[in-house]
Amino acid sequence: MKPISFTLLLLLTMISCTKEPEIQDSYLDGPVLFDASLYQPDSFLLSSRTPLPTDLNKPVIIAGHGYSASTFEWEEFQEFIDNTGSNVLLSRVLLGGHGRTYEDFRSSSWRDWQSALLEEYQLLKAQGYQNISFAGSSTGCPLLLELIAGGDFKEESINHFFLIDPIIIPSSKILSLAPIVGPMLGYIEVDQSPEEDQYWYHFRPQETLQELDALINLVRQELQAGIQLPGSAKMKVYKALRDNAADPASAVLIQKGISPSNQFEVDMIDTDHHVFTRLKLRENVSDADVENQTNVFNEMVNKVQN
Amino acid sequence: MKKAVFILFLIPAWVQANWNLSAGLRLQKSYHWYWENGVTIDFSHTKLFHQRLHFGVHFLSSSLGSAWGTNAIRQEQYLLFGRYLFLHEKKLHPFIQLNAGYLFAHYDQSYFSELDNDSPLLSVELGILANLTSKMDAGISVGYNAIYGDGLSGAGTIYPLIYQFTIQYRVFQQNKENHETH
Repeated sequence: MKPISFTLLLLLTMISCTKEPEIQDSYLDGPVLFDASLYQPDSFLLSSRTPLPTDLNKPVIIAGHGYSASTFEWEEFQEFIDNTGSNVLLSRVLLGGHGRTYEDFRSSSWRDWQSALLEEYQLLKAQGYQNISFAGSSTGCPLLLELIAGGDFKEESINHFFLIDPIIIPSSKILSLAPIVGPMLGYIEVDQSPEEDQYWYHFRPQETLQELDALINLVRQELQAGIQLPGSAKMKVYKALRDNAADPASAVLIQKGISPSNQFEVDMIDTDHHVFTRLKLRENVSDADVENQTNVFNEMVNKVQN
Repeated sequence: MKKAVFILFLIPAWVQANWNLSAGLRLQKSYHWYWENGVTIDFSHTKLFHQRLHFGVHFLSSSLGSAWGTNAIRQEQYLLFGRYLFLHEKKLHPFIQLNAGYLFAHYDQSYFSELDNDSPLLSVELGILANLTSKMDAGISVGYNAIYGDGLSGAGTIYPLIYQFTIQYRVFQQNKENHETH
Protein backbone atom coordinates (compact mmCIF):
# COMPACT_ATOMS: atom_id res chain seq x y z
CA MET A 1 0.00 0.00 0.00
CA LYS A 2 1.32 3.47 -0.88
CA PRO A 3 2.16 5.71 2.11
CA ILE A 4 -0.41 8.33 1.11
CA SER A 5 -3.32 5.89 0.98
CA PHE A 6 -2.25 4.39 4.29
CA THR A 7 -2.25 7.86 5.86
CA LEU A 8 -5.68 8.56 4.41
CA LEU A 9 -7.04 5.31 5.78
CA LEU A 10 -5.55 6.04 9.20
CA LEU A 11 -7.08 9.52 9.17
CA LEU A 12 -10.50 8.21 8.24
CA THR A 13 -10.28 5.60 10.98
CA MET A 14 -9.32 8.24 13.54
CA ILE A 15 -12.18 10.49 12.48
CA SER A 16 -14.63 7.60 12.79
CA CYS A 17 -13.29 6.59 16.19
CA THR A 18 -13.35 10.05 17.69
CA LYS A 19 -16.77 11.00 16.28
CA GLU A 20 -19.32 11.25 19.07
CA PRO A 21 -23.05 10.84 18.53
CA GLU A 22 -25.23 13.92 18.85
CA ILE A 23 -27.44 12.83 21.69
CA GLN A 24 -30.64 14.75 22.35
CA ASP A 25 -32.35 15.03 25.71
CA SER A 26 -35.42 13.32 24.28
CA TYR A 27 -33.40 10.16 23.64
CA LEU A 28 -33.04 7.32 26.12
CA ASP A 29 -29.31 7.74 25.44
CA GLY A 30 -29.22 11.20 27.07
CA PRO A 31 -28.71 12.38 30.66
CA VAL A 32 -32.36 13.35 31.20
CA LEU A 33 -34.51 10.37 30.29
CA PHE A 34 -34.02 7.02 32.06
CA ASP A 35 -35.98 3.79 32.18
CA ALA A 36 -38.89 4.22 34.62
CA SER A 37 -37.83 1.14 36.59
CA LEU A 38 -34.86 3.12 37.92
CA TYR A 39 -37.20 5.69 39.51
CA GLN A 40 -39.92 3.30 40.63
CA PRO A 41 -38.40 -0.15 41.01
CA ASP A 42 -41.38 -1.42 43.00
CA SER A 43 -43.60 -0.95 39.94
CA PHE A 44 -41.36 -3.26 37.91
CA LEU A 45 -39.39 -5.59 40.16
CA LEU A 46 -41.38 -8.04 42.25
CA SER A 47 -38.53 -8.28 44.74
CA SER A 48 -38.79 -4.52 45.41
CA ARG A 49 -42.59 -4.50 45.42
CA THR A 50 -43.11 -6.84 48.33
CA PRO A 51 -40.17 -7.24 50.72
CA LEU A 52 -42.23 -9.63 52.87
CA PRO A 53 -44.52 -11.38 50.39
CA THR A 54 -47.42 -13.57 51.43
CA ASP A 55 -48.39 -14.98 48.03
CA LEU A 56 -45.36 -17.23 47.68
CA ASN A 57 -47.18 -19.96 45.75
CA LYS A 58 -48.34 -17.66 42.98
CA PRO A 59 -46.58 -18.21 39.65
CA VAL A 60 -43.90 -15.62 38.97
CA ILE A 61 -42.49 -14.72 35.56
CA ILE A 62 -39.20 -12.82 35.42
CA ALA A 63 -39.10 -11.01 32.06
CA GLY A 64 -35.95 -9.73 30.37
CA HIS A 65 -35.97 -7.46 27.34
CA GLY A 66 -33.70 -7.28 24.30
CA TYR A 67 -30.49 -5.51 23.34
CA SER A 68 -30.72 -1.68 23.51
CA ALA A 69 -34.35 -1.92 24.65
CA SER A 70 -35.96 -1.31 28.04
CA THR A 71 -38.69 -2.62 30.34
CA PHE A 72 -41.19 -1.10 27.91
CA GLU A 73 -40.84 -4.26 25.79
CA TRP A 74 -42.84 -6.23 28.39
CA GLU A 75 -45.31 -3.49 29.35
CA GLU A 76 -48.15 -5.02 27.34
CA PHE A 77 -47.74 -8.33 29.16
CA GLN A 78 -48.14 -6.54 32.49
CA GLU A 79 -51.28 -4.86 31.13
CA PHE A 80 -52.59 -8.21 29.90
CA ILE A 81 -52.08 -9.73 33.35
CA ASP A 82 -53.77 -6.76 35.03
CA ASN A 83 -56.68 -6.66 32.57
CA THR A 84 -57.41 -10.38 32.65
CA GLY A 85 -56.98 -10.69 36.41
CA SER A 86 -54.50 -13.50 35.87
CA ASN A 87 -53.13 -15.16 38.94
CA VAL A 88 -49.54 -14.46 37.80
CA LEU A 89 -46.91 -12.06 39.11
CA LEU A 90 -44.62 -10.38 36.60
CA SER A 91 -41.22 -8.97 37.40
CA ARG A 92 -39.92 -6.75 34.60
CA VAL A 93 -36.15 -6.60 34.82
CA LEU A 94 -34.07 -3.82 33.30
CA LEU A 95 -30.93 -5.43 31.92
CA GLY A 96 -27.64 -4.16 33.35
CA GLY A 97 -26.16 -1.21 31.48
CA HIS A 98 -29.52 -0.45 29.85
CA GLY A 99 -32.03 2.34 30.43
CA ARG A 100 -29.27 4.73 31.46
CA THR A 101 -26.95 7.04 29.52
CA TYR A 102 -25.17 6.21 26.28
CA GLU A 103 -21.88 6.08 28.20
CA ASP A 104 -23.29 3.63 30.74
CA PHE A 105 -24.51 1.47 27.90
CA ARG A 106 -21.22 1.71 26.02
CA SER A 107 -19.16 0.58 29.00
CA SER A 108 -21.39 -2.41 29.85
CA SER A 109 -20.70 -6.04 28.95
CA TRP A 110 -23.19 -8.80 28.23
CA ARG A 111 -22.33 -10.21 31.66
CA ASP A 112 -23.59 -6.93 33.12
CA TRP A 113 -26.78 -7.20 31.06
CA GLN A 114 -27.30 -10.75 32.30
CA SER A 115 -26.54 -10.13 35.98
CA ALA A 116 -29.79 -8.21 36.53
CA LEU A 117 -31.83 -11.30 35.59
CA LEU A 118 -29.91 -13.61 37.92
CA GLU A 119 -30.01 -11.06 40.75
CA GLU A 120 -33.79 -10.74 40.58
CA TYR A 121 -34.15 -14.53 40.52
CA GLN A 122 -31.94 -14.91 43.58
CA LEU A 123 -33.84 -12.20 45.48
CA LEU A 124 -37.20 -13.82 44.71
CA LYS A 125 -35.88 -17.25 45.72
CA ALA A 126 -34.60 -15.76 48.98
CA GLN A 127 -38.02 -14.23 49.59
CA GLY A 128 -39.50 -17.69 49.26
CA TYR A 129 -41.25 -17.76 45.88
CA GLN A 130 -41.78 -21.37 44.82
CA ASN A 131 -43.02 -21.19 41.23
CA ILE A 132 -40.66 -19.11 39.12
CA SER A 133 -40.48 -18.92 35.33
CA PHE A 134 -38.50 -16.76 32.93
CA ALA A 135 -39.45 -14.94 29.75
CA GLY A 136 -36.94 -13.39 27.40
CA SER A 137 -37.33 -11.37 24.25
CA SER A 138 -34.64 -11.15 21.58
CA THR A 139 -31.27 -10.80 23.38
CA GLY A 140 -32.98 -11.62 26.66
CA CYS A 141 -33.15 -15.19 25.29
CA PRO A 142 -29.43 -15.92 24.74
CA LEU A 143 -28.81 -14.34 28.14
CA LEU A 144 -31.16 -16.93 29.69
CA LEU A 145 -29.74 -19.77 27.59
CA GLU A 146 -26.25 -18.85 28.73
CA LEU A 147 -27.36 -18.95 32.38
CA ILE A 148 -28.76 -22.47 31.81
CA ALA A 149 -25.61 -23.59 29.97
CA GLY A 150 -23.43 -22.09 32.69
CA GLY A 151 -25.15 -24.22 35.32
CA ASP A 152 -26.65 -21.31 37.27
CA PHE A 153 -30.00 -23.11 37.46
CA LYS A 154 -28.62 -26.65 37.73
CA GLU A 155 -29.98 -27.36 41.21
CA GLU A 156 -33.01 -25.09 40.82
CA SER A 157 -36.61 -25.90 40.02
CA ILE A 158 -37.67 -23.49 37.31
CA ASN A 159 -41.15 -23.93 35.89
CA HIS A 160 -40.84 -22.54 32.35
CA PHE A 161 -38.56 -20.63 30.04
CA PHE A 162 -40.39 -18.62 27.37
CA LEU A 163 -38.29 -17.31 24.49
CA ILE A 164 -39.84 -14.67 22.21
CA ASP A 165 -37.90 -14.16 18.98
CA PRO A 166 -34.58 -15.40 20.36
CA ILE A 167 -31.50 -14.16 18.55
CA ILE A 168 -28.75 -16.72 18.02
CA ILE A 169 -28.25 -15.95 14.34
CA PRO A 170 -28.55 -12.24 13.58
CA SER A 171 -30.57 -11.28 10.53
CA SER A 172 -27.83 -8.84 9.62
CA LYS A 173 -24.87 -11.18 9.19
CA ILE A 174 -22.62 -8.12 9.17
CA LEU A 175 -22.94 -8.18 12.97
CA SER A 176 -20.48 -11.09 12.90
CA LEU A 177 -17.87 -8.64 11.58
CA ALA A 178 -18.34 -6.26 14.56
CA PRO A 179 -14.92 -7.13 16.07
CA ILE A 180 -13.26 -6.22 12.75
CA VAL A 181 -15.20 -3.22 11.45
CA GLY A 182 -16.74 -2.01 14.73
CA PRO A 183 -13.80 0.18 15.84
CA MET A 184 -13.96 1.98 12.48
CA LEU A 185 -17.68 2.71 12.86
CA GLY A 186 -17.79 3.99 16.44
CA TYR A 187 -21.55 3.59 16.67
CA ILE A 188 -24.66 2.89 14.61
CA GLU A 189 -27.63 5.22 14.44
CA VAL A 190 -31.06 3.59 14.40
CA ASP A 191 -33.93 4.90 12.32
CA GLN A 192 -36.88 4.88 14.72
CA SER A 193 -39.73 7.17 15.72
CA PRO A 194 -39.34 9.92 18.37
CA GLU A 195 -41.59 7.86 20.67
CA GLU A 196 -39.38 4.81 20.25
CA ASP A 197 -36.33 6.96 21.03
CA GLN A 198 -37.64 7.12 24.60
CA TYR A 199 -37.52 3.35 25.05
CA TRP A 200 -34.73 2.14 22.76
CA TYR A 201 -31.27 3.61 22.38
CA HIS A 202 -31.04 5.83 19.33
CA PHE A 203 -27.29 5.17 19.04
CA ARG A 204 -25.74 1.74 19.40
CA PRO A 205 -22.09 1.89 20.46
CA GLN A 206 -19.86 -0.51 18.55
CA GLU A 207 -18.56 -1.87 21.87
CA THR A 208 -22.06 -3.15 22.69
CA LEU A 209 -22.46 -4.61 19.19
CA GLN A 210 -19.26 -6.55 19.86
CA GLU A 211 -20.70 -7.70 23.19
CA LEU A 212 -23.88 -8.85 21.48
CA ASP A 213 -21.88 -10.67 18.82
CA ALA A 214 -19.70 -12.34 21.48
CA LEU A 215 -22.79 -13.45 23.44
CA ILE A 216 -24.64 -15.03 20.52
CA ASN A 217 -21.47 -16.65 19.22
CA LEU A 218 -20.88 -18.22 22.64
CA VAL A 219 -24.47 -19.42 23.00
CA ARG A 220 -24.40 -20.86 19.48
CA GLN A 221 -21.39 -22.95 20.48
CA GLU A 222 -23.05 -23.96 23.75
CA LEU A 223 -26.14 -25.10 21.83
CA GLN A 224 -23.89 -26.98 19.44
CA ALA A 225 -22.40 -28.86 22.40
CA GLY A 226 -25.88 -29.29 23.93
CA ILE A 227 -27.72 -27.44 26.70
CA GLN A 228 -29.75 -29.44 29.18
CA LEU A 229 -32.79 -27.91 30.81
CA PRO A 230 -32.58 -27.94 34.61
CA GLY A 231 -34.76 -30.58 36.28
CA SER A 232 -38.27 -30.71 34.87
CA ALA A 233 -38.19 -27.15 33.52
CA LYS A 234 -39.90 -26.68 30.16
CA MET A 235 -38.97 -24.34 27.34
CA LYS A 236 -41.24 -22.80 24.73
CA VAL A 237 -39.86 -20.83 21.78
CA TYR A 238 -42.07 -18.44 19.80
CA LYS A 239 -40.33 -17.29 16.64
CA ALA A 240 -41.48 -14.94 13.90
CA LEU A 241 -41.23 -16.52 10.45
CA ARG A 242 -39.80 -13.26 9.04
CA ASP A 243 -37.68 -11.12 11.29
CA ASN A 244 -35.22 -8.38 10.37
CA ALA A 245 -33.32 -8.66 13.66
CA ALA A 246 -33.23 -12.31 14.74
CA ASP A 247 -32.93 -14.76 11.86
CA PRO A 248 -35.70 -17.40 12.07
CA ALA A 249 -33.01 -20.11 11.77
CA SER A 250 -32.14 -19.18 15.37
CA ALA A 251 -35.09 -21.37 16.38
CA VAL A 252 -33.53 -24.32 14.53
CA LEU A 253 -30.30 -23.99 16.51
CA ILE A 254 -32.22 -23.88 19.80
CA GLN A 255 -34.39 -26.86 18.86
CA LYS A 256 -31.32 -28.90 17.96
CA GLY A 257 -29.34 -27.82 21.01
CA ILE A 258 -31.85 -28.12 23.87
CA SER A 259 -32.53 -31.37 25.70
CA PRO A 260 -34.56 -33.24 26.83
CA SER A 261 -36.67 -32.85 23.71
CA ASN A 262 -39.90 -33.78 25.50
CA GLN A 263 -39.59 -30.62 27.62
CA PHE A 264 -39.21 -28.39 24.59
CA GLU A 265 -41.70 -26.82 22.14
CA VAL A 266 -41.50 -24.38 19.20
CA ASP A 267 -44.19 -22.26 17.57
CA MET A 268 -43.28 -20.50 14.33
CA ILE A 269 -45.49 -17.39 14.17
CA ASP A 270 -46.71 -15.97 10.87
CA THR A 271 -45.52 -12.40 11.35
CA ASP A 272 -42.70 -10.13 10.28
CA HIS A 273 -42.44 -8.19 13.57
CA HIS A 274 -39.36 -8.71 15.69
CA VAL A 275 -40.59 -9.33 19.26
CA PHE A 276 -44.12 -9.63 17.93
CA THR A 277 -45.56 -9.52 21.47
CA ARG A 278 -44.73 -5.81 21.62
CA LEU A 279 -47.26 -3.97 19.49
CA LYS A 280 -47.25 -0.51 21.07
CA LEU A 281 -45.62 2.21 18.94
CA ARG A 282 -45.69 -0.01 15.84
CA GLU A 283 -47.05 1.59 12.71
CA ASN A 284 -48.91 -1.28 11.09
CA VAL A 285 -50.65 -3.52 13.58
CA SER A 286 -53.14 -5.97 12.10
CA ASP A 287 -55.85 -8.02 13.77
CA ALA A 288 -53.64 -11.05 13.26
CA ASP A 289 -50.84 -9.30 15.21
CA VAL A 290 -53.18 -8.65 18.13
CA GLU A 291 -54.37 -12.25 17.99
CA ASN A 292 -50.77 -13.53 18.01
CA GLN A 293 -49.97 -11.42 21.04
CA THR A 294 -53.09 -12.47 22.93
CA ASN A 295 -52.59 -16.15 22.13
CA VAL A 296 -49.00 -16.14 23.33
CA PHE A 297 -49.74 -14.19 26.52
CA ASN A 298 -52.66 -16.53 27.25
CA GLU A 299 -50.52 -19.59 26.71
CA MET A 300 -47.70 -18.27 28.91
CA VAL A 301 -50.11 -17.51 31.74
CA ASN A 302 -51.82 -20.89 31.42
CA LYS A 303 -48.56 -22.84 31.29
CA VAL A 304 -47.10 -21.37 34.48
CA GLN A 305 -50.33 -22.09 36.36
CA ASN A 306 -50.30 -25.79 35.50
CA MET B 1 -5.71 -47.20 -4.22
CA LYS B 2 -6.19 -49.85 -6.95
CA LYS B 3 -9.50 -48.23 -7.80
CA ALA B 4 -7.85 -44.82 -8.19
CA VAL B 5 -5.24 -46.24 -10.54
CA PHE B 6 -7.98 -48.01 -12.51
CA ILE B 7 -9.94 -44.74 -12.86
CA LEU B 8 -6.82 -43.03 -14.14
CA PHE B 9 -6.62 -45.64 -16.89
CA LEU B 10 -10.16 -44.74 -17.92
CA ILE B 11 -9.20 -41.10 -18.57
CA PRO B 12 -8.21 -40.87 -22.23
CA ALA B 13 -4.56 -40.30 -22.91
CA TRP B 14 -5.23 -37.08 -24.88
CA VAL B 15 -6.89 -35.64 -21.79
CA GLN B 16 -3.95 -36.57 -19.63
CA ALA B 17 -1.64 -35.04 -22.23
CA ASN B 18 -3.25 -31.61 -22.07
CA TRP B 19 -4.83 -31.29 -18.69
CA ASN B 20 -3.55 -30.97 -15.15
CA LEU B 21 -5.63 -32.45 -12.41
CA SER B 22 -5.25 -32.03 -8.65
CA ALA B 23 -7.48 -33.34 -5.91
CA GLY B 24 -7.42 -32.72 -2.20
CA LEU B 25 -9.07 -31.53 0.96
CA ARG B 26 -10.53 -28.10 1.67
CA LEU B 27 -11.09 -27.01 5.28
CA GLN B 28 -13.32 -23.93 5.35
CA LYS B 29 -14.44 -21.82 8.33
CA SER B 30 -17.00 -19.04 8.28
CA TYR B 31 -16.10 -16.34 10.78
CA HIS B 32 -18.32 -16.82 13.85
CA TRP B 33 -20.04 -19.73 12.18
CA TYR B 34 -19.25 -23.29 11.08
CA TRP B 35 -16.38 -25.36 9.87
CA GLU B 36 -17.45 -26.89 6.56
CA ASN B 37 -14.92 -29.32 5.19
CA GLY B 38 -14.75 -31.49 2.11
CA VAL B 39 -13.02 -32.25 -1.14
CA THR B 40 -11.76 -30.10 -3.96
CA ILE B 41 -10.84 -30.99 -7.54
CA ASP B 42 -8.76 -28.56 -9.58
CA PHE B 43 -8.23 -28.56 -13.37
CA SER B 44 -6.05 -26.49 -15.64
CA HIS B 45 -5.25 -26.79 -19.34
CA THR B 46 -1.81 -26.51 -20.87
CA LYS B 47 -2.93 -24.01 -23.49
CA LEU B 48 -5.18 -21.88 -21.32
CA PHE B 49 -3.45 -18.76 -19.93
CA HIS B 50 -0.21 -20.73 -19.53
CA GLN B 51 -1.89 -22.86 -16.86
CA ARG B 52 -2.54 -19.80 -14.73
CA LEU B 53 -6.30 -20.23 -15.01
CA HIS B 54 -7.67 -23.08 -12.92
CA PHE B 55 -11.18 -24.22 -12.41
CA GLY B 56 -12.85 -26.99 -10.52
CA VAL B 57 -15.34 -28.02 -7.89
CA HIS B 58 -15.63 -28.06 -4.12
CA PHE B 59 -17.97 -30.21 -2.11
CA LEU B 60 -18.16 -29.04 1.50
CA SER B 61 -20.29 -30.20 4.39
CA SER B 62 -20.73 -29.17 8.01
CA SER B 63 -21.20 -32.90 8.67
CA LEU B 64 -17.45 -33.15 8.08
CA GLY B 65 -16.88 -30.09 10.28
CA SER B 66 -18.88 -28.38 13.00
CA ALA B 67 -21.81 -30.81 12.82
CA TRP B 68 -19.57 -33.86 13.31
CA GLY B 69 -20.90 -35.35 16.55
CA THR B 70 -22.62 -32.12 17.61
CA ASN B 71 -26.04 -30.45 17.40
CA ALA B 72 -24.99 -28.08 14.62
CA ILE B 73 -27.12 -27.82 11.47
CA ARG B 74 -26.04 -30.19 8.70
CA GLN B 75 -25.56 -28.36 5.43
CA GLU B 76 -23.76 -28.93 2.15
CA GLN B 77 -22.18 -26.57 -0.32
CA TYR B 78 -21.70 -27.50 -3.99
CA LEU B 79 -19.36 -25.01 -5.64
CA LEU B 80 -17.75 -24.40 -9.02
CA PHE B 81 -14.70 -22.18 -8.97
CA GLY B 82 -12.39 -20.28 -11.30
CA ARG B 83 -8.97 -19.29 -9.99
CA TYR B 84 -6.29 -17.11 -11.54
CA LEU B 85 -2.71 -17.57 -10.30
CA PHE B 86 -0.14 -14.77 -10.29
CA LEU B 87 3.65 -15.19 -10.21
CA HIS B 88 3.20 -18.56 -11.84
CA GLU B 89 6.91 -19.14 -12.21
CA LYS B 90 7.46 -18.86 -8.43
CA LYS B 91 6.77 -21.39 -5.71
CA LEU B 92 4.29 -19.07 -3.98
CA HIS B 93 1.35 -18.02 -6.16
CA PRO B 94 -1.02 -15.28 -5.02
CA PHE B 95 -4.45 -15.97 -6.47
CA ILE B 96 -7.90 -14.58 -6.88
CA GLN B 97 -10.80 -17.00 -7.00
CA LEU B 98 -14.49 -16.80 -7.76
CA ASN B 99 -16.84 -19.47 -6.35
CA ALA B 100 -20.44 -20.02 -7.38
CA GLY B 101 -22.74 -22.78 -6.27
CA TYR B 102 -25.61 -23.82 -4.07
CA LEU B 103 -26.22 -24.59 -0.41
CA PHE B 104 -28.68 -27.01 1.15
CA ALA B 105 -29.31 -26.93 4.90
CA HIS B 106 -31.26 -29.55 6.86
CA TYR B 107 -33.61 -28.20 9.52
CA ASP B 108 -35.11 -31.69 10.02
CA GLN B 109 -38.43 -30.68 11.64
CA SER B 110 -41.69 -30.14 9.77
CA TYR B 111 -42.46 -26.96 11.72
CA PHE B 112 -39.42 -25.35 10.09
CA SER B 113 -40.62 -26.22 6.59
CA GLU B 114 -41.58 -22.60 5.82
CA LEU B 115 -38.03 -21.36 6.41
CA ASP B 116 -35.67 -20.98 3.46
CA ASN B 117 -33.08 -23.72 3.75
CA ASP B 118 -31.33 -23.47 0.40
CA SER B 119 -29.55 -20.65 -1.35
CA PRO B 120 -27.28 -19.83 -4.25
CA LEU B 121 -23.71 -19.11 -3.24
CA LEU B 122 -21.33 -16.54 -4.67
CA SER B 123 -17.99 -15.65 -3.12
CA VAL B 124 -14.64 -14.18 -3.99
CA GLU B 125 -11.35 -15.22 -2.39
CA LEU B 126 -7.83 -13.83 -2.22
CA GLY B 127 -5.05 -16.18 -1.19
CA ILE B 128 -1.74 -17.86 -1.74
CA LEU B 129 -1.03 -21.28 -3.20
CA ALA B 130 2.32 -22.87 -2.38
CA ASN B 131 4.07 -25.69 -4.24
CA LEU B 132 5.16 -27.87 -1.32
CA THR B 133 6.70 -30.64 -3.41
CA SER B 134 6.55 -31.71 -7.03
CA LYS B 135 3.25 -33.44 -6.25
CA MET B 136 1.68 -31.46 -3.41
CA ASP B 137 0.23 -27.95 -3.18
CA ALA B 138 -1.25 -26.11 -0.22
CA GLY B 139 -3.27 -22.92 -0.19
CA ILE B 140 -4.81 -20.47 2.22
CA SER B 141 -7.26 -17.70 1.43
CA VAL B 142 -9.77 -15.27 2.83
CA GLY B 143 -13.08 -14.80 1.11
CA TYR B 144 -16.35 -12.94 1.19
CA ASN B 145 -19.78 -14.46 0.61
CA ALA B 146 -21.89 -12.03 -1.39
CA ILE B 147 -25.19 -13.85 -0.78
CA TYR B 148 -26.69 -14.53 2.65
CA GLY B 149 -30.12 -14.41 4.25
CA ASP B 150 -31.46 -11.28 5.94
CA GLY B 151 -34.06 -12.86 8.22
CA LEU B 152 -36.87 -12.00 5.81
CA SER B 153 -35.77 -14.30 3.01
CA GLY B 154 -32.82 -16.51 2.13
CA ALA B 155 -31.08 -19.20 4.15
CA GLY B 156 -29.92 -17.88 7.52
CA THR B 157 -26.97 -20.24 7.72
CA ILE B 158 -24.50 -18.41 5.46
CA TYR B 159 -22.05 -15.94 7.01
CA PRO B 160 -20.09 -13.34 5.03
CA LEU B 161 -16.44 -13.84 5.98
CA ILE B 162 -14.75 -17.15 5.18
CA TYR B 163 -11.22 -18.46 5.42
CA GLN B 164 -9.90 -21.77 4.23
CA PHE B 165 -6.97 -24.13 3.96
CA THR B 166 -6.52 -26.49 1.02
CA ILE B 167 -4.05 -29.27 0.50
CA GLN B 168 -4.09 -31.09 -2.82
CA TYR B 169 -2.24 -33.79 -4.72
CA ARG B 170 -1.37 -33.49 -8.40
CA VAL B 171 -2.97 -36.56 -9.93
CA PHE B 172 -1.47 -35.82 -13.31
CA GLN B 173 0.48 -32.84 -14.52
CA GLN B 174 2.10 -31.57 -17.70
CA ASN B 175 5.54 -30.11 -17.90
CA LYS B 176 4.81 -26.39 -17.62
CA GLU B 177 7.98 -25.15 -19.35
CA ASN B 178 7.56 -27.45 -22.36
CA HIS B 179 4.05 -26.27 -23.03
CA GLU B 180 4.79 -22.60 -22.46
CA THR B 181 7.52 -22.63 -25.15
CA HIS B 182 5.25 -24.20 -27.77
